[in-house]
Amino acid sequence: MKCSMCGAEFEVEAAARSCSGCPLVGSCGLIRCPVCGYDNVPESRLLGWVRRMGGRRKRVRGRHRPEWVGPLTLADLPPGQPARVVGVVHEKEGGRHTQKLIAMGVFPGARIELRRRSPGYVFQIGFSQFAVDADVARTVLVQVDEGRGRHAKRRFN
Amino acid sequence: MSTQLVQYAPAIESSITEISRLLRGSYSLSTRAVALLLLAGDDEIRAVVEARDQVVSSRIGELVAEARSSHPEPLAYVLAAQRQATVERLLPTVVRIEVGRAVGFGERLSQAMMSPLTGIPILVAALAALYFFVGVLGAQTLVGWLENGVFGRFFNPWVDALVNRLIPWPAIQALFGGEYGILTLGIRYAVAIILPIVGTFFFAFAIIEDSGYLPRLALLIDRLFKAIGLNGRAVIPMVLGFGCDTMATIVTRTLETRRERVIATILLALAVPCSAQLGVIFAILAGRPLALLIWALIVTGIFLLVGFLAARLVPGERAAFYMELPPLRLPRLSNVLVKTYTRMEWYLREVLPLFVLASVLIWLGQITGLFSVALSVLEPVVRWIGLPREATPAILFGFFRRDYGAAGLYDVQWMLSGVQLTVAAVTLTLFVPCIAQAAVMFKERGWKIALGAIAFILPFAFVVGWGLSRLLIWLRLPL
Repeated sequence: MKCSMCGAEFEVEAAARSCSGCPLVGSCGLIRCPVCGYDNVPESRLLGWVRRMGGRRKRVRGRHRPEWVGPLTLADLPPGQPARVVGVVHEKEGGRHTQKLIAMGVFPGARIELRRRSPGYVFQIGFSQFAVDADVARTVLVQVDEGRGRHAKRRFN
Repeated sequence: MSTQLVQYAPAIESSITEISRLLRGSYSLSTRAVALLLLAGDDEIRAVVEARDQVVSSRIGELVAEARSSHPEPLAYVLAAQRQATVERLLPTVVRIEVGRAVGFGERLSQAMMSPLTGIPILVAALAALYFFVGVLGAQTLVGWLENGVFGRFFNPWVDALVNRLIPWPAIQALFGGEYGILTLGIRYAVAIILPIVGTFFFAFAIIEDSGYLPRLALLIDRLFKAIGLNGRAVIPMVLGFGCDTMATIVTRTLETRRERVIATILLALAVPCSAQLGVIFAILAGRPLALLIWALIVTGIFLLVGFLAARLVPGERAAFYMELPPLRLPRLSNVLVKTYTRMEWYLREVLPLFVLASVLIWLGQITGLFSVALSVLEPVVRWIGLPREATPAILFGFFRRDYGAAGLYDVQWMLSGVQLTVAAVTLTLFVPCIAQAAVMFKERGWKIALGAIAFILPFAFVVGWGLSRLLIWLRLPL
């Protein structure tokens, strides 16, 4: 976060260390800036949530392509953006996720398209649609497929 | 060896050849298939190989470990990916795929079912339709006709007359006829009250199941269910629980983690009324919309509250949600009828003996005096939650089957005020699972969890009933 007194950027975890010596030891709800020692009031969780919601809405509606091209995950794609699977983040050997991904046919090279991201992630692969939660969607690494239009959902060959 | 359809990467092919050369025992599969399964980490086949090829099993284990360590990804995934690549290569040569189909009505409806804005109204509409079909048509029209018409006017008087003519002893007469007889109570409850309700529910459930709505509902509800320690997949046992909790408790097997199975079992036993119970409760509270609303709010609130607490108390890892969304389909009547019939047959076969057994137990209890002892033990508790003593048999019946208890309540409903009916309906909904469900809980979850769940549910139901009755009397609601 950013200190509202001196403007220094710091990690909240680092701030906790500068609390040593204070009898309240971190239970005061304030965040002490490690640079100037000013006790910042943390942002309200409600406000933060509202702000994040607003931000997400905007991004979805704007539908512009993500700015960085490279291995991003299925959870980062906007709905309707054709993409290809480039890999999968595996848990430990033969983890539970792996079995599911095999069953759904999520293999490198497969064309994949996110159909919706709320209340959960729905994607199309081959002729099948699957619904997964964010934990699973984040394990699928994808690459934006440039060659295809938005209505290419049935064009798998 | 003949040429293989699927050629794996050279490193894997050499592992396969080495392993299959070592295999000596006889297998129903080819040695290549056995080697592939071993590489993929199949535990079942490994146990078989360890038994049949003891001499070389350690060498095979080394080879598998070697192949595994030379790949950064799990071997099962690598093998599946290479098989998939073969499929992709073959597919265009044999299948022509039409391009660019328009977005149809089914696809739009599917999206509407999943989007919270439209999905929740659709869910409410589906529940309302379910209520009119099961709660009104099944529980009121059909039950009324069977109960008052067929049984009240013909069957019961006929049985009583026959029993009185054939059997001279009053004690044995009471076993078959009269107030608690096998034929007049057991069969009547099963056929006249439970069967139409369960039948209409299973019919409606088969339609919902075949339409493909359930996976979409699972997605819609996944977030909420995560908060109570489950995930969207648990929607299937939960909805099925509205039909029969016993069947639903068996279906909790499909949940992935032990934690989810435990939480789902407790919630099914506590706060998911089965269709028989639901139908009778609808019938009892039919003329009192406010009472029905209070009942629904209390039971839903307890479902969420207990789930939320259980999610914090029951240890274990969080399960991931994944589910295939099959296309929406119009259910076929023949399929729906077959499913309904199969489930009803299962239900009757499971339920009828229990109803008869319950009748016999009540009869035994009556002639030995145990029944009245149990009634007098239970009576203070029943009075404590603000119900008249006439409701005691209904609560006692609840121990045998939940629906049986609710059906007993149906018999004495004219005696109870609106507040008392609401309290009784809530208490009986939360109350212990029926004998069959308890038996399944012991079998599926072990005695520790089953006993723990019952020890929690029993006092909890009465405490909630007591609190609710105080609250309703204090609020003076026109129920």
